[in-house]
Amino acid sequence: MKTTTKIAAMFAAFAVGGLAPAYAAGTAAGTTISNKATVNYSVGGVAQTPVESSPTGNNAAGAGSGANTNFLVDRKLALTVTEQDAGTTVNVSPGQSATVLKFTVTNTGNDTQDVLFQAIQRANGTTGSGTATDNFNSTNTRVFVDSNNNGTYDSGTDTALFADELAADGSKTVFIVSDIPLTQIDGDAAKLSLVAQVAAGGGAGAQGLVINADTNGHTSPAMIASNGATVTLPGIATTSAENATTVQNVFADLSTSGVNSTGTADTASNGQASDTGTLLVISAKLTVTKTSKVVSDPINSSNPKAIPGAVVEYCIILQNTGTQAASPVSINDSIPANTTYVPSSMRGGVTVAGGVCTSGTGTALSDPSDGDNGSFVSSAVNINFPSPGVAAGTTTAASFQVTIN
Amino acid sequence: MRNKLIATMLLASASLLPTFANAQEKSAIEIKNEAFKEVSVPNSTTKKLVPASSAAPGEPLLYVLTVRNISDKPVSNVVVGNPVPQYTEYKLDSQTSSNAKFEVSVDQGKTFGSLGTLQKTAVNGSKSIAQAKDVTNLRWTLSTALKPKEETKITYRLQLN
Repeated sequence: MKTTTKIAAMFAAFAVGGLAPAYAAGTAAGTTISNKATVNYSVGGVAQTPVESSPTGNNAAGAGSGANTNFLVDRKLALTVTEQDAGTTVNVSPGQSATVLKFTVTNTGNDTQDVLFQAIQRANGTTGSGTATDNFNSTNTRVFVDSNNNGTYDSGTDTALFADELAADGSKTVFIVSDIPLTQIDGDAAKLSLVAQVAAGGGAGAQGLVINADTNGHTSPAMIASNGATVTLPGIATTSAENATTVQNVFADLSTSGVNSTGTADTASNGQASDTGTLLVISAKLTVTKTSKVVSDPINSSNPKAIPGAVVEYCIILQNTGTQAASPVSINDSIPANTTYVPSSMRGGVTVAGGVCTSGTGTALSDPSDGDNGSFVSSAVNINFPSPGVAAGTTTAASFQVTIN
Repeated sequence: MRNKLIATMLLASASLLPTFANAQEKSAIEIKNEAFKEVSVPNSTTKKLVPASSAAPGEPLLYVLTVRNISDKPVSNVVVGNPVPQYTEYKLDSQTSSNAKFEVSVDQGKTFGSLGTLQKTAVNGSKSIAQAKDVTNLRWTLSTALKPKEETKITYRLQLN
């Protein structure tokens, strides 16, 4: 806010002075720079009327007899794109829709421009811009400009597809919005680059023509449609020679990091700039292990065997190796054929030692569908782990017993 | 004599002509001011100078002042002054001249001196050593007279902001 006020104050000052505004990015395009020298001299010891310079040489005496040596300030075209969470990742969940990567796009040129955008799904194996390595592409990828300038993506409000009339030194927040497939797991990462392409101002509300070449013979890569087809946008290709009456376009983007609109390495002076953000999937990762042991039989007092009438204890171990809690979790297990559920044998929160349940630990659960976390319904046990569920990096277990028919 | 003549002409023309600028009185001195910029030569590391008619912010421009005595008498006390145009900065140590004292001003030509000795006054009144970007005027004082038909060249660089 402070910077904006300062710039506004600068504009006011210049307006009073009647001068063209000077930007951090440089003197405004179209400004004429005038230069004139004056010579004072003497002949025979007598001072003469001063002589002013002209581009071709002037010898007429007196103020106003010379002429300015002029040149015209060309249009410097330069953009920068900076991901707002630079160096870190944006955490997302499997199946999350409308995830947002935020970028700041700044016009570092010296004239008002429109800016067009393209999101690039980076290839698997891409690194940088956060520690994770890319291993999937998010879906339904779209780019929107922060129309209401509140720094937050507002679905239905931030619908503009290009930055309109971005003044010299002006910047906009731009969002890449995409969805995460439900099949992604904890630790998966999608890297996306926002590529910005400079275009002519084109007037308020109208998308200006792409400036796809400059007067120095540099060209811009084509843009890619959402279906992957290459789109050669209608552009302004200016290759006219050095000229004092026309403001010429000069690509001045010097960055070679990141990608261009075709997904290949960015080059300097191509009218494009980019930066990359990372969507990191954070989730629970549950491993379920089910073991069984015979706890007693009708014949042997020790070393029980799985004979009819023997009691078998099933142990269901839940191990969360993800970065998020799994909450809530519920186990539903049908009683196997040829066995009979031992009433009131369900236990929750059972201790696991050596990869198996420690019998008798945890909390006994009753069979009716009542206030506790266990129920026996339709020949199946249901054991719930309500919030906070199974915390990241922890292991818990449940057990129940059956008799062999 | 000549001065008197000009003064008389001035008076006469002031009543007859709206501006004195139209009077093409030939002086003993002719001065030419040319702007150039360096451009890369394709497939080469060398650069060439081309007349500059336009430039992008950040580009340096080379100015060449040619001061020539076109009379048949020696011309002395030659002082060449050149304000630094708005939106440009003088590039430090970029001037070349022969038999001339080079000085700059950081106060629109009120006082001149060499860069490093001049002070500039900030809005809040604090003083500091002026930098190249603070230079408002350039001045060359030729230490020797220009003989008839003799010319001298002065070059300097400005950078477009």
